[in-house]
Amino acid sequence: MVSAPPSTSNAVTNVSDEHELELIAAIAAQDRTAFKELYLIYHRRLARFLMRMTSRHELIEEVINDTLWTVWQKAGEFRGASRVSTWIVGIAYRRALKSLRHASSHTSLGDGEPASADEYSRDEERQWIERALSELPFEQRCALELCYLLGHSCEEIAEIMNCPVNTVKTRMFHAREKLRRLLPRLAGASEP
Amino acid sequence: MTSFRHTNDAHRDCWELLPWVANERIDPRDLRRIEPHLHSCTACQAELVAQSRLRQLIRADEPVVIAPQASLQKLLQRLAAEQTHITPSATQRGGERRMPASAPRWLAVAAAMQAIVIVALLWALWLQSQALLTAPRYTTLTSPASLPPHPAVHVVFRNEVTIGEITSILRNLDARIVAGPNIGGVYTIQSAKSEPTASQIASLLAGLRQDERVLLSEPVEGTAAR
Ligand SMILES: [Zn+2]
Repeated sequence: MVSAPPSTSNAVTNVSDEHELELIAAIAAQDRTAFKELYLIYHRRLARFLMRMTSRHELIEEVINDTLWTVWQKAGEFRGASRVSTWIVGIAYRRALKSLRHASSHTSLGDGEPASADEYSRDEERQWIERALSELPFEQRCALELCYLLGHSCEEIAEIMNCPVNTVKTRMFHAREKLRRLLPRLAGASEP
Repeated sequence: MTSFRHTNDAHRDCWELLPWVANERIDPRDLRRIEPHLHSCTACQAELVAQSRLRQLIRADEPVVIAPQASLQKLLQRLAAEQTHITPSATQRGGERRMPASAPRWLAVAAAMQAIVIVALLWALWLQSQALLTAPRYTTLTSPASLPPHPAVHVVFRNEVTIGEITSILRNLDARIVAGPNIGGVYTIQSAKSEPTASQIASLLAGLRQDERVLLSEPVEGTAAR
């Protein structure tokens, strides 16, 4: 029932980490080809993450471009103390927090409605999970997405969200409790 | 909601960490600590299954992908506009000649490598086995096999030295990276001059040795100035 984590995932992580580190160094020397490559990697990753937070595409684009703009400017100061992905997602998180809070006077902060009505037709299970996630407070939802969608460790999420490790655990704990109520099917038929 | 019992510290400890067991990013020390409980607690086991399922659902849920090209073009235009307006601080920093664009790739790899390497130990390894440490770990740049027959120097920087600082140190000494860092964080550098004299190499070495950010520097055998 209990399975140990596969040992291959860390090796895969290390290979892409090294490549991203190479890209950052090239960007520090104003290498635009490297910048374009990193942009395409992170556009996809950040768009997936941000689309869970807001349905407003223009906001998502703004956050992604401001994030990568910062990466272009600060690449030379990156010390490699954390993974490149933790650094970049941290910039995006802070930028998104600002944007979404500003935009929250127009739309709700945890506005997780799918981008279009067409999406609903794709998969019932998806609607079900999407609706439940949209019920979570912003910080709890972020912690959950950083953990499951982007695959960050507890310590990395603490760095990205600029909070203690225990706060991350607490946010995840509450997110899980709330989802358990919203998604009883998640725990299987035997659960009440 | 009966699965969580506050009274049991081991249960709580394990329960809180289950998301990172599910996403395979748990710290190995944490895993060792919670494993005995996980093996004996059916509630934690059921929760791990539930969280693994949640993770699968979230990862499988691919929202409509925004095409990146238009945004990328916008950002590239912004970068181009910025470069035509060089700020005073940029002038101050970038007064010297710019490094070849490819070189700092190595600098960044070094930053990560240095963090996990005991430099002194690996320097000793280098002394023992030149071949081991000059073997190229990365092959996207000039490999030692293709070094021009000019004098070369091996350098190790201190862990805390940033990419920007390494770039600046080498610029000031009119030197460039031709290979490295290898597994031990050792760079191979050469004078940027096409035919450096013995005294220019000596002053390059002296410059490196005077800089406290440089941990070690040695001429590479068989490449001495003629
Ligand atoms: Zn338990």
